[in-house]
Amino acid sequence: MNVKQTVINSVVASIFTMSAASVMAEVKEGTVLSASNIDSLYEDTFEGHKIKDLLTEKIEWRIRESGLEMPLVHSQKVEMDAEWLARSKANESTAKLNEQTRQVEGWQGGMPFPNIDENDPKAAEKIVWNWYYGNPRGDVMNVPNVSYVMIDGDSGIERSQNWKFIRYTMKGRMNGEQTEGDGGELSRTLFFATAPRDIKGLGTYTIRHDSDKVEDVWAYIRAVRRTRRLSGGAWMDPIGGTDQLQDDIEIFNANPSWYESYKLIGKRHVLVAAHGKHSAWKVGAKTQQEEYPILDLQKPPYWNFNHDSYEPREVYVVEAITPEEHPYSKKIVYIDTQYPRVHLGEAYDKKGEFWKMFQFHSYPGTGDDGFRDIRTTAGVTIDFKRNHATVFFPDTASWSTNTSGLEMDDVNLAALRKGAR
Amino acid sequence: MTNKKNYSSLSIAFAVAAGTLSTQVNAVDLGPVQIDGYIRQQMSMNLEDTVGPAGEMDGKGRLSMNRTTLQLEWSADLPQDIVFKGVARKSWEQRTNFMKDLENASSPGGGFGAENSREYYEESEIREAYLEIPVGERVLLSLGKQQVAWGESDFFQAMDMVHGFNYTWRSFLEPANEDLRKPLIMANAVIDFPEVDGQMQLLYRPGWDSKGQIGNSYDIEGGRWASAPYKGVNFPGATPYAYDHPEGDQDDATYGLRWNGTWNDLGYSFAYLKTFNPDPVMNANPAFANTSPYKGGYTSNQATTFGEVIFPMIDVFGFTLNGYSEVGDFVWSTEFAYIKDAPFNVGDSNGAFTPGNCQTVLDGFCGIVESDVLRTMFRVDKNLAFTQDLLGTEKPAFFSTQLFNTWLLDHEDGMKLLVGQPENRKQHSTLLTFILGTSYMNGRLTPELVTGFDLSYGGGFVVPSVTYAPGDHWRFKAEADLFFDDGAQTGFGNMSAPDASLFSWFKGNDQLAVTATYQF
Repeated sequence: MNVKQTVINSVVASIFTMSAASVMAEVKEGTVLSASNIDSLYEDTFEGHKIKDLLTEKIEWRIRESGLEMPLVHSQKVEMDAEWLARSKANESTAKLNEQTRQVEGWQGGMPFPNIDENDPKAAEKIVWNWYYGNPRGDVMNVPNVSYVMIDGDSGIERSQNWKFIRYTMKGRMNGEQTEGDGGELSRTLFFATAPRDIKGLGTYTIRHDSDKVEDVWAYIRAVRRTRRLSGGAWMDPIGGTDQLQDDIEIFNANPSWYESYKLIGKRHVLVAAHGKHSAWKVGAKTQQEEYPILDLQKPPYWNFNHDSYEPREVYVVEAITPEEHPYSKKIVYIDTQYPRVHLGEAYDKKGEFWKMFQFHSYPGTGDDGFRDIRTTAGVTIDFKRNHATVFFPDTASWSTNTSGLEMDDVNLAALRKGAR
Repeated sequence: MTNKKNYSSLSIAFAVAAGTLSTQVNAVDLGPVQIDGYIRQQMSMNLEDTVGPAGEMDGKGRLSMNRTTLQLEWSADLPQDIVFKGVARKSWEQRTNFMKDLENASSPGGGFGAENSREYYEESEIREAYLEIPVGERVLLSLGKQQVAWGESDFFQAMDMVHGFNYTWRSFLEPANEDLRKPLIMANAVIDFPEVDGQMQLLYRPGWDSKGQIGNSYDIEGGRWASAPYKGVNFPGATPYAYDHPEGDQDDATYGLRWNGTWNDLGYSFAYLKTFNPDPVMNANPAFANTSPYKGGYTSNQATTFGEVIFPMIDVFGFTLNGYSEVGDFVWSTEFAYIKDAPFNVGDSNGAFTPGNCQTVLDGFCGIVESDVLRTMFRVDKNLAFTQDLLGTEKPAFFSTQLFNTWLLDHEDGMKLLVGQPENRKQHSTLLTFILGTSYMNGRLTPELVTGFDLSYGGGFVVPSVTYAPGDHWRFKAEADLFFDDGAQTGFGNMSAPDASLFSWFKGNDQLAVTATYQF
């Protein structure tokens, strides 16, 4: 190698270094990741993570092909409730996954498995149990105004429905008695439609058992003024005319033992809305865009949350294999590593082809008694086969966690009859 | 039945209202008062010639209903957590040419009596107006005009006898039977016993309702749902309603109580009800049929009537049970209603069975006998996943099958299924029904098939329908109501036809019906 060649090599190396430095630039907060800039930002970093590494395959595809835009914000710490943390800590020595029954024993509230060993062959199943048992929603989740918006990918909003939701935790409670009732129930849920008029008064009452038994469900049907028992086996059926299965509520809504098996694919960072804008639903606004400010209603497919705030969060990536009779072959869920929250999910059909995507935004809230909970601000289930989506918006302004005076006996079959009238 | 406005102006008003409202109108929220409701247009067309006393009438292809309904529903939050709820309904009907033909049917006289068809079918009614008053922690007291539904059965009445139904303008096929139920003025107390997962409900109806609010109303005035062969025949002209018969006086109080609860995974209820027999019976004029009036009482003018239509009071004891079976993944429910001393008409027009010295040319005019009755229902609901592949439904279809049996424990010869019809009652009569509900386009397109079969007397019905919900406000429904029978009367001259059971009465009633609703 002569001197001339050495100089050329040095210059080339310098140019490469400089290029790399420019490619690896840290993206500024407020940057909106979109189809127009994804290539230029692809190798850049945000909070030290390459943009391309923060995107799941399906999120990247949605940005490139389906109009998704992601305004970036810096990640914020999520402070969990002290009692919830203490209960979770206490489970370290008591909670066990019974491999015969596939149920958890010795759980006392909070996360049953606060310490996940990624080498544990049951790690993925335990992560899902952490979500199922440990979801920090409070003893009472009282959301008096919820909007379901059905969206066609070509034409926009088709219909909207308003509902009222109350879930009462029966076991693993943070206040007072840890268990109410006979210990056989995990929760009770009331769900009433309030609009439009033809579904107003329709309601369901659901008892979720603390076992592998399917739920007990009753419906009040206003048109005939009666309650009617519903099939508890409907946990894998669609909810009304929405794109969600019962199992898709907040992405994963089944007793973990109802799934065949789980696999921990790994840990990674993804962009999610863990401090989502609230309220994402402006009740009574004049225009649809004002009513649903985080939705991008200006361009197809109309279901993208393009006006929310996305931050990097570390998640477990878990593959959940469904039972044979389930419409999906598997779900991939992205569960926060710090606290039990499913931010993203994907569903695949029986042929293994990508079918649906779930994206739920949340924020840390404070209950009426000061309990630190995690609340959904917006959620979307997108059926890409049918080019259709169902968006879920709770009215966070009226959301109440651990509502004072709301007791177990306010959430029962009698309350369904009274409340739905 | 007081509205005299021209129908065409109503149609225009409807069109204008719909056009105006189709901008962006939702339920009107007036702070603590909320108002919503709907305006609805219903039309039906005969698919076959109808059957009148002289035989087949010119009915096929003709409009049998053109009805507009405005319903307003409101609720108001009052002090002390008291809530006021109200429902008002106004219906307008067009006198279609077919209806005019029924009005003018020549023999033995036209339908609807002194009214025309529009006056007969139109309504202006405060259907519900009541206060919900919480009393302490456990009791919710509802006072006023209201609806209470008991029991579990679809289509037919077992324990659901608190109210009668108005089947004159729509017959029994209306799925939203709250629109057909005749509300009553009642005190209704529901007392919670959460300690034992149950509620006690106490009902007291003081007898303050307006005339005609008790019992089921069938079209015996000769209208579009009059049974074959009585289209165009106004029975009340000769057999008036008698709502003040001593055994069925609507001014008398009725009452009931029900315990409703859950035990483990089972839902159950026990009930007792003092009420009016839902189906009317004919109390024959003793001077007409030479028979004894019911329990010695005949309240109508014996010189001008053949009989009177009454609703005797009965005692009903009921029990329901429901549950879910993981094996087979279905919901089951059952209902038993034991009716003490239910009334039935007896007497054959052909003289085959005429107790005492009865002499009648009309079936069922030889008096009223009583029998204890046990009505039982067993039903299975199941979601059918295979319809997703077979029919392309977006979710498992809802399927329900129900077996409904009526057992006359004191059955005797000559008991009639219906007065004026020759078919005699059997000790057991059983009806089998099916519902198949499917869903497409995210629940916006919902085809449904409802069928029923009379296993005891033959015949049945098939009702395919499809409902389309394009958005939040408009709802469209099209349906065919198709009946088949195992023999029916073809006219007055065919009075002795032995086969004339439930679905025979619908001979000639096949129809297409469409409904457009704008809700707000």
